Amino acid sequence: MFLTDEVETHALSGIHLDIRDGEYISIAGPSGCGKSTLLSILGLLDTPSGGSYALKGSEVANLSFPERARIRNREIGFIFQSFNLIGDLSVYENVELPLTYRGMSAGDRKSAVTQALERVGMGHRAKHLPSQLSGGQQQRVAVARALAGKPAILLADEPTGNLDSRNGEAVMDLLKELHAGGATICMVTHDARFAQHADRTVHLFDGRVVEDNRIAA
Amino acid sequence: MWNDLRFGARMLVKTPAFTIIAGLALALGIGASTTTFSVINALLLKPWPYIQDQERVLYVSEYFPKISSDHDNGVAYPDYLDFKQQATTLEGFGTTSIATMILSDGEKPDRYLGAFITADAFSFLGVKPMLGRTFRAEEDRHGAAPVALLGYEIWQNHFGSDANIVGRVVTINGKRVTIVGVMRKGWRFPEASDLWMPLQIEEKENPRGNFNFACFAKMKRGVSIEQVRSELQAIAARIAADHPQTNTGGSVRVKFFREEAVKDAKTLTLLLMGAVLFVHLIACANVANLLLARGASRAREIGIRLALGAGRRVIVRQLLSESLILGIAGSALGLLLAIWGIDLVMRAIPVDLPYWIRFDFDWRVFTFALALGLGSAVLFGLFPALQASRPQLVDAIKEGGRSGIGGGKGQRVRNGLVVAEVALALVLLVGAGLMLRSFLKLQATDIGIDPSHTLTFRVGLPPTQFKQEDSARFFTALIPQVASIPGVESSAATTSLPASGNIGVSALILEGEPEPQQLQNARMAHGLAITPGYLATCHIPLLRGRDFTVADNKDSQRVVLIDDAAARKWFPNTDPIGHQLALLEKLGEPPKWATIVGIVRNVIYDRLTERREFPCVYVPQYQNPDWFMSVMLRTKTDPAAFGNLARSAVLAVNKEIPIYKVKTMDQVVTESFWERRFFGTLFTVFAGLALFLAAIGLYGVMAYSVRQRTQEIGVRMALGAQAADVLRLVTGHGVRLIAAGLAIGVVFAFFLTRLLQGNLEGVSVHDPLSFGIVSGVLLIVGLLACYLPARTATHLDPVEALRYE
Repeated sequence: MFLTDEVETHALSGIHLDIRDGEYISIAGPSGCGKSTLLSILGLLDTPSGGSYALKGSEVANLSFPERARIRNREIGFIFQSFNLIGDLSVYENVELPLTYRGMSAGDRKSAVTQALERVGMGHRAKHLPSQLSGGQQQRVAVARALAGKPAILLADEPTGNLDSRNGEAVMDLLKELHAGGATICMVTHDARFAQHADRTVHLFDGRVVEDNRIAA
Repeated sequence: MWNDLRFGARMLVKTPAFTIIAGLALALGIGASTTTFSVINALLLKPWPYIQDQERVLYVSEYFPKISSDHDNGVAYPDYLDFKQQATTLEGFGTTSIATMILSDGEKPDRYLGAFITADAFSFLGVKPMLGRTFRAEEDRHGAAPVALLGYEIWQNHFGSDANIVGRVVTINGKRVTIVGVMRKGWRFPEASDLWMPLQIEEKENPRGNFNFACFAKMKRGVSIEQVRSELQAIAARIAADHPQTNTGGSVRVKFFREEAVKDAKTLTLLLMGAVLFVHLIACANVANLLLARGASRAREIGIRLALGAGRRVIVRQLLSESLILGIAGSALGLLLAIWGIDLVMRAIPVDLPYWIRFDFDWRVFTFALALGLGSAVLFGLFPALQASRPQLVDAIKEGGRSGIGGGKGQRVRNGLVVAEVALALVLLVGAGLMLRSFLKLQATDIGIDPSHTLTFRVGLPPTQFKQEDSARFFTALIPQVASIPGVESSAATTSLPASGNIGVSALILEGEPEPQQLQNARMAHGLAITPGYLATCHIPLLRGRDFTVADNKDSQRVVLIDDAAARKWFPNTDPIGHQLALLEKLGEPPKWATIVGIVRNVIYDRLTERREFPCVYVPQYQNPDWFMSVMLRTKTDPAAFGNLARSAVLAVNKEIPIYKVKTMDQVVTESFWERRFFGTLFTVFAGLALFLAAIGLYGVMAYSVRQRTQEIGVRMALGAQAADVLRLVTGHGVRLIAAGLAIGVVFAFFLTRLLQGNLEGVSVHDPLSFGIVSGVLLIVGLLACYLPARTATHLDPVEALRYE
């Protein structure tokens, strides 16, 4: 719930959602329906004004900032609409970035980064800067960054929003591949075509779940 | 252009925070620079009042390289006559001797600083009086009727601007003197004279070897100073050949009069100008950084203008107009600050300045301030204007669109400017640190006496009015009179106060030594006359033997005291007590032998910044009377409160003798290195300003960087960065900038501090402690400047940060 002046705005209300290990879920709905807010809560970037949130069986909704940062670093992988790669860092360094917050040794980091880049097919571009890559390639690197730490869940916020249809398809195929390999993915999208790539779609409208095709099934 | 200026003014008004910060930074830099420039203007540029063709006026002195290559004597009067008669390259040659002149027609005598001067000096200097006339040639002869010229201030204050003053007869130094004229306001040649009388020298009283006269000359048109030097040196060589006893080894020094007058202050003043321009450069770098950031924020507006067909030149001109407005505003505000700054500078100078040093604002100062403002506008404004005028059109006018967040050429330039600021600040701080250490060493110098609780004042008996024996009687009566003042513990008189620099060098021989062929080859020592009680009043330990007593007078055996340095140097293997020495005034005369009766601790009589390592010989004033002496009183309470009582005590002995130069001994010591303190203080103020501006610059760059990297910081937080990781990220950037600035600054400081050579006492120009402390201070201040933006970054909401554009 957000408060602005005298207006109470319920961004989300009455959300009951569980995501199982290995599931591929898309959250769909029109603009302003609360998709990004839900993803922020799931990603521990934001705290709910009420209710509870358990990740891998542990209650995490009201943890302190440092604890949330730690869990975010180890359990959650983010993929953003606008890629959010850091321009001064190379591809390798961008993928390595979350691992540097864990205190991993350089050797372990190298192994994890190399593996992640190979997985998304960007190993040959490790020394390039983001400005030297196309949009699709940047998003692949962003996926590699999300994967490198072997998170419990991948959260993707409109991952194809800044891509043309060909690149968008390519990224969706990559996510499908990752899911096939066992990754748990929660994707926010307003594009119905891409929402169908997921096994399960949750429709939001005005902050509420109006349809969940797992329940329907 | 007018439209550009109008639009520029509007844009500046729309962003008051930017305008105020930039304007203030510029005003500080321009104000400090203009203040310093007005000092340079006064010393080096502003014409001296009234002297015609002053670029041809020279200063002439004699000196003896074997004794001291950089210490000038005056000119002996017979030598002056020879130079004047034989020189063909000079239009005029004059001499002057400053003197105490006591006007005693009123209720109480008033002492003024006057000057005896050759009659034709006013003529060849091209100076005319306001009332009456200057001197005639015949008035210069010994025995001519005494006449005087009054200065404007004394005419105004002492004589009430009497329009009928010309022809009036007054009493000066006990003589009836006719006033022949009044000089124009501001004329006080050679330094601070209140009135002038013709020289009227008696040659036999001023023989060769007495180098007492300050000489000045004017070159003929078309003659160079090198030609004058050659000619006068040839004449000096002839004099030395004709008078070997007094002039062998002597040489003549010829300089431009202004150059001699400013020699002590010129180097330091120019260094100060360099230092303050560094401060101004830092201020300009800050403004440039602000303009770069402002340009980046206006990229969309500029992109639209370019897309609509504006040429790049038009954009640059428009952006530069804002810089010009800032520059002009900075000049105006800087001038106001400079007015205040000059007032502070004048108050900080504890001594009377020569008449020709006037810190008023003339066209040069205004032009400097305006030129600096406009030049700075181009300096700090051109690159940001060029940078801002070429955005990537498509990127600038569309929303979104990124190829990675953070980085860019603009950030590199901003980083470079901050590194430069840190480097400049370090150079200034090292310079200030060295001067401060030097000044503190001077302040801590043990001059050999206890200067506390001691009042001093000068008493002069005009030689034209009093004989030497009168002087002895006067001080014999005065000292007990002063000592009887309630609250006075002891009193004494001396010809030279410690640390005053007012001490001569005398030649001497020890018993058993042959008389030297030339005075310059003899042993040399500082010589001064003191009354009994001097050692006790100054708390100078008597190491061996006895002090002078009232019994040491003209009728008793001649005695002297020597200091420990003299004892070690002249009597290394024997006890000096009982041995004899003679001070030599003239060769060929029988030496006046005196017995050494005591040895005292070393005392410094030179100014602390001009020390010559001579031993010291004390003679009893009653055996060697002098007309001018400084009286010292050691008091139980605040010595400054005893001035009027001292004045009354002197008037009780002779109602025609005033006192002057009333100061505490602490003030005398402080004044002996006032230039170091003054310049050291200014350097420190400017260095502090540089540090402040550099810290502001660093803070600004870091704050801007945090803003620019807000989204990146959001991403890092989303990826799991803790607050400490963000703090390390931001401060790490700042530390790299500081480290680069320190490294570059240390290299520059290493070379530039050599310019301070000769102006530091007891401190090396590469003093590692100064370098180390300054670097540490700059690092700490820099880290503090980085910490605030870094701390702000740690409190960013990652959700908001991710959405930030």
